Amino acid sequence: QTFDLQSVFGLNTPSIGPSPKLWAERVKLMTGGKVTINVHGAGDFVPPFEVFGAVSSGALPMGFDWIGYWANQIPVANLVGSMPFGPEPDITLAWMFKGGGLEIIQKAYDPHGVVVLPCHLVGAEAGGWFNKEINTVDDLKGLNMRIAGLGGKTLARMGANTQLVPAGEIFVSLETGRIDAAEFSAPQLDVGLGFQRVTKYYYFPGWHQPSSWDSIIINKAVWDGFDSDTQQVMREACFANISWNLADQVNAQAEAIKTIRDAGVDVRRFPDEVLLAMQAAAKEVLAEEAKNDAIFAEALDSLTAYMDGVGEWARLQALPRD
Amino acid sequence: MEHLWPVLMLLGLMAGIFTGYPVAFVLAGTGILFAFLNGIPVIFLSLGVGRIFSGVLANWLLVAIPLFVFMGLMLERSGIAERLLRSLASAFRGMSGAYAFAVAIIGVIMAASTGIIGASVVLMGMMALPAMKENNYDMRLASGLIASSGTLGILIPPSIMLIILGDQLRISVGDLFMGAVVPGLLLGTLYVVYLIAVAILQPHRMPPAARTDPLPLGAALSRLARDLLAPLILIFSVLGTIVAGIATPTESAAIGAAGAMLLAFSSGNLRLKTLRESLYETTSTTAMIVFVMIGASIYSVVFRRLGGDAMLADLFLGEGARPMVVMLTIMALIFVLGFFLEWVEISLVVVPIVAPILTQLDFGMPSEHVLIWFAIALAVNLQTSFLTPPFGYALFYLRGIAPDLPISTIYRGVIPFVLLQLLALALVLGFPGLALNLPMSLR
Amino acid sequence: MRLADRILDLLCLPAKWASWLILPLIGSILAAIFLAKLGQNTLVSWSQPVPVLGRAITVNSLLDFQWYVFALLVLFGGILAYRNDRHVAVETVALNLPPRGRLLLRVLGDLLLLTPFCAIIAWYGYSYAMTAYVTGEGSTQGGLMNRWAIKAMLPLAFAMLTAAGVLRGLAGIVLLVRGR
Ligand code: NA
Ligand code: NA
Repeated sequence: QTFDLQSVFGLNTPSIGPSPKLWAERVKLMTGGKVTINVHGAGDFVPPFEVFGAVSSGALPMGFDWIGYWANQIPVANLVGSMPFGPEPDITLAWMFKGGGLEIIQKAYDPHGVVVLPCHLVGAEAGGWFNKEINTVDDLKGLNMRIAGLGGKTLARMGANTQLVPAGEIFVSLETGRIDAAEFSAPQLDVGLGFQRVTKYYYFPGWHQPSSWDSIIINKAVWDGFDSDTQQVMREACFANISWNLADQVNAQAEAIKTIRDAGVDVRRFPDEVLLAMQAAAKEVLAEEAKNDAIFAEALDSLTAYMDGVGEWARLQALPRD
Repeated sequence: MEHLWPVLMLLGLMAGIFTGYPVAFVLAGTGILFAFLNGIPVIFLSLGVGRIFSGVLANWLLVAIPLFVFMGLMLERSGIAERLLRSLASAFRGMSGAYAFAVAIIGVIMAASTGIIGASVVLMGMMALPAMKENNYDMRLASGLIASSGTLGILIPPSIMLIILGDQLRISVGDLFMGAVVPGLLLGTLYVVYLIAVAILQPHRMPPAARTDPLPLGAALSRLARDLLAPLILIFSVLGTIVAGIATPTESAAIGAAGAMLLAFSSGNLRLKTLRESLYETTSTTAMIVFVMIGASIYSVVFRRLGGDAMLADLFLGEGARPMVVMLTIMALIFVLGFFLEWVEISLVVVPIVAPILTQLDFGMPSEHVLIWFAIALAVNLQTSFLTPPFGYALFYLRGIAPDLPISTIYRGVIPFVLLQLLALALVLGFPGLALNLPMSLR
Repeated sequence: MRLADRILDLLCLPAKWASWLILPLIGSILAAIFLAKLGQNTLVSWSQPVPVLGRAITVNSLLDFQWYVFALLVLFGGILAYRNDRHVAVETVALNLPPRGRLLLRVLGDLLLLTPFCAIIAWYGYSYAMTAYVTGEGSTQGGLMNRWAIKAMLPLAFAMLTAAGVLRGLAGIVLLVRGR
């Protein structure tokens, strides 16, 4: 059996680019060559934002995505894709597969006839590229920043002018001062876009997205057509993918940060005072979003409870490090 | 035969285009026909909806298209260029080829203040051609010059073509705008150098104007300065706002459109009727360009599904082809296609197919630079396609406004200018710095 | 034939209405540039959500408005350009054919190329817009809500273009049969 899969990313993008291909190879290997999946890059069949609709209608059997892309249709996708001050990768992993997360999320996908397999766990991104120093909360007021999702809503609440500059115009907008700051991705990806040539500061932490999920999405009818062994293989292939990509990330980030620093960019952290104010604003944004969508509310409650529950463990185990 | 269907699909497209039916629908219709012939499930074609909506209609970059079209129409209606041409010609009076030099200079100025070509060719054809005829110019030279300097608008920023190329190649439009400045000015310079050579070697082809202008030279120059002011303000308002960081390239189009409308309004030439006609015209022209994108998006998804992309990649990347040979082959192919097709079709059908091939080749520079360099060379190449018979838009525009000018005169008249274009193309290909230095130094 | 022409003219009306939106389009971009210079995101806001606008007019509402207008210009302008034969075409070869041959090619194009394409897009465009309606799709950036409204324009415009194609194709057949 042969299936087409389209990613929302270019296949040459570091880390997330090859991920669906590696998954497809694992599936082929573990099914003894029975299932072949041809992986296509962003835009090959549909523009990235249309992958979900195409899988839902059955025009494409499978897709690979950043879950947050589907926030327009599935509000909870915003939470799983990027939750400001959300869980670290190990906690989100546990919540997803052992804490009931996947069951809640799948409920939101059911009406669309789509099966979701979380398949690539991204660690924290960077806080963003800035041409203005952020020393106090007031520095965020009137800041022209390109940032998407719930993080964007959080900053907007704090008085920033958040906007969606198309990916192709971020560079020129930063370069000319049309925007003061832009959030894009993790250092590993950011460095390839050359923002270090046109900005002064690279801020951390990636408060807007301490972890996030990419997933394989499969049309329900296609999924039901697989026997239960094949379905299990596809899930197992995702577990293998997740451990592989977690192993691949941290070192690559460190190298990228070195390149960025060598280009003369000041790499620094947001002051704690600013981070605390962001956290307060993010809480309000999350509460507001939860009012608009029942599944979002259920996932937020479940995840917050889970984070609180395991939070003590992390605090008990914390070692002084220097 | 492995590549049977993609080859048939290409042949089908060519045949369809030559029926004279609108290219947009030939592209889409051929795509759908071949999907049926191959038994591809109909639901696959529903991908076309997403491609049209998210890929084309919701593409914010393309909002610049109606704005640049509208700006060009307003500029035409405002009478600014007309006054500028008169005062330039009167400043050069007495010189051999006064009108010719004026046309070349206006060509560059108009080019830097509009994003399309129709307006420039029509405008100069209507104003300069009669005057040149009266002064016993060689009409081949006159028509070739007007057609070619009128097409500079598509190369020199702002330019709709560069916006579409930036979108297709996923590179910064700002970089492309800056990258096109030097090659655009280079072309303008080549035209002027050629005119100087003609003025010296064959002055009878462009005799000096009779001295009928009563204005003393000083007064003529001050009038020239005054008439230059409006276009310079417009150029600054578009390119200046990008460089100064006030607007993105897309937004600068709105500033230009508002500026041109203001100029047209203050010149007293803008009535409600002209405004309405310009708006309708803008809508038609925008749809005409964008529908080709829509058609191409349907054609290409089926072409890819049938393995067409893989076929072309095999063709160009076949055993150890040298990068520069691949680049030259692609440029030659596009030059030949330019005889028959328009820039819209070439940019939208050919570019997405050849771009991934080029990025895989090693030219000793980052692939992003390769794409910018390629895009600028391509822009020069595509500008040439406006001039190459039998199907060259600039030639048709000119023929449209000068019905008594034989088409053969126009065809022969553009030959030297096409050669100048090829010289410029060779220079850009041989010296990538011409395209890359400006955008890189501004970073 | 007169009736066919009348209907084609009617189909062009939305394009003419949409043309006037170019003026507010220019205005909204200038406003967005101005707001960005001031470092403002929100123009006005209110407490109860209203259709399309949501709870505020922000820079992102303006951005959405801009591509909405562009989409309308293209979709309905496509019908206007079709009506006035303004679509890009390569007529060099066809011009050498006798008028009947040219008409025949045009009828074939109308019925075999344009109509199937437009009908398929209109058909799937309908469920595309319905999905947006059912899921209540809207901007997640404080832009415009009720995205189904703009998505519904796609099947509408393509259905109109299908109608125009069928109409002109049939009118062409009548002309061919009458032998003129
Ligand atoms: Na231009
Ligand atoms: Na040509």
